[in-house]
Amino acid sequence: MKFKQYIIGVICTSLVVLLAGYLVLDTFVFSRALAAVSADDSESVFSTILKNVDTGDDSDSFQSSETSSESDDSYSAESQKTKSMHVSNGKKNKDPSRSKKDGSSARINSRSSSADTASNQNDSTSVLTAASVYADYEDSNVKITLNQYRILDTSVYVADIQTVSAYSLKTAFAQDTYGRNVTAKTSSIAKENNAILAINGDYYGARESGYVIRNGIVYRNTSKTATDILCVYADGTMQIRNTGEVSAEELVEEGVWQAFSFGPALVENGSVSVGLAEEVGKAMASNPRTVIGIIDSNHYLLVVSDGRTDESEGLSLYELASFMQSLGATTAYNLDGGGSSTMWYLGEVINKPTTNGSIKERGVSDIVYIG
Amino acid sequence: MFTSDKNLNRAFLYTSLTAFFALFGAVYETFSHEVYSFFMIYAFAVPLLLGVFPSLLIIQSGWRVKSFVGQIYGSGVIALTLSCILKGALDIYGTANSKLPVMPLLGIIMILLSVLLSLPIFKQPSVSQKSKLT
Repeated sequence: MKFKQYIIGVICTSLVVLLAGYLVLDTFVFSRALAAVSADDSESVFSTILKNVDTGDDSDSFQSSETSSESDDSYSAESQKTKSMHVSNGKKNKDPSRSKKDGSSARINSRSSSADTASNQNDSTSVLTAASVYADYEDSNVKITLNQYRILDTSVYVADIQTVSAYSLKTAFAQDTYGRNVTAKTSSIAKENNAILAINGDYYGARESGYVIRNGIVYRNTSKTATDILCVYADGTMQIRNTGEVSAEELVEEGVWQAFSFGPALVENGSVSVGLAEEVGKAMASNPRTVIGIIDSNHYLLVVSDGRTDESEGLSLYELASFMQSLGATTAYNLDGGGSSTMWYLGEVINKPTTNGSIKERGVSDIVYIG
Repeated sequence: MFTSDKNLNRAFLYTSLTAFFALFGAVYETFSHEVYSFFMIYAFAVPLLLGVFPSLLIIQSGWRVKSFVGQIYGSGVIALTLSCILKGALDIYGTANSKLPVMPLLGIIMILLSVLLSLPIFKQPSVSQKSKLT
């Protein structure tokens, strides 16, 4: 009898709870299941498009010959083709140079645009627009080509890095201190370490476990569950390893220089390794992304994609993995994304990190940088 | 006394809900890596403003509210609160759902319905006034 008094309340509350449950399922389960069923995964959407796109410099060596098209004025407003060959050591360079501590000068070209005007437009009708070369940098140890792409209404910044040694790919902690809840902006950490180019790392400080190997030193060797980690070896290679199979100390003995524990692995052995519906299993999964990858020995890719803004919708892990594969990545690994996603280049944050709805950096535990 | 006990219970329930959602929002925001959502932060304001304050007002005034009306109203408050929580969670997650507005709409409909159903009741004399008449 008493229950009858509350039956209306029970019915109404149950209705509300069921509706809430349906909305949760609709957001996180149904929409992804539909996407998985309808997508054609026989070929990456980017492969076909990039076959017809002139995407940039394919120089294999730092010792390449000079062209006459672009060496005179690195800040020229004239549109130029992105394919340009650079001269090492700046001997024939007439451009402003950045002096290095070792005495050699670096050659920097900034903001030269490709001849493809589509790359300069936010063309929402195209899936992918050609890259515009954002900047070039070269010295005796490293060559960086920074390209900006427009993919699925999202701006993506790709740093193509060729190094003489894997030791040029470094990491640094916020406030130069290892520990949880120690954070600083990517730009601050980059400046403190005289970085040429930097991206945010794997935000190890947000977790209590997961291998942390930085610059050859083991800072954390625990892992609650067997997870995939990215290992950057001193010989210039990269590999996805599983923490259930090897200890952090063993990895260092094998020659691992850096190890990252965010994930998931996006590309392994040249193939996309994430499913269409896969997402980062954290409450903060987000559309801005940061990815590190490798094309071949000592030839790295650092990629940051924007999201959560009117200008950039953001990419799913599968979309990003397909893009990395189309760039030629044989291995690619997802790092901390969301508001952490930041790319810094020679004193400037070049993407649009989003925090609390506004364009600004947020503190991170660590960075990956070239220096 | 029975009616005033019910009103007190209702006020206590809303206060508990307010405290719970305030704590929930605070904990959620703590672990959100500085990604904030005002819907998550201020979700507790819904049971506070639409639950606690009206309950205290009813206790003070001695109004009599039918049980089923109070239950419909309470379900409406819960619907509005849950819609704030869901919206906040989706904002922090970085996604959205076009069907989400159905929930606050349902909450508003329930609240309006309960207010309409309670209007004749508000005009009825309170228990103390009835005892004076008899």
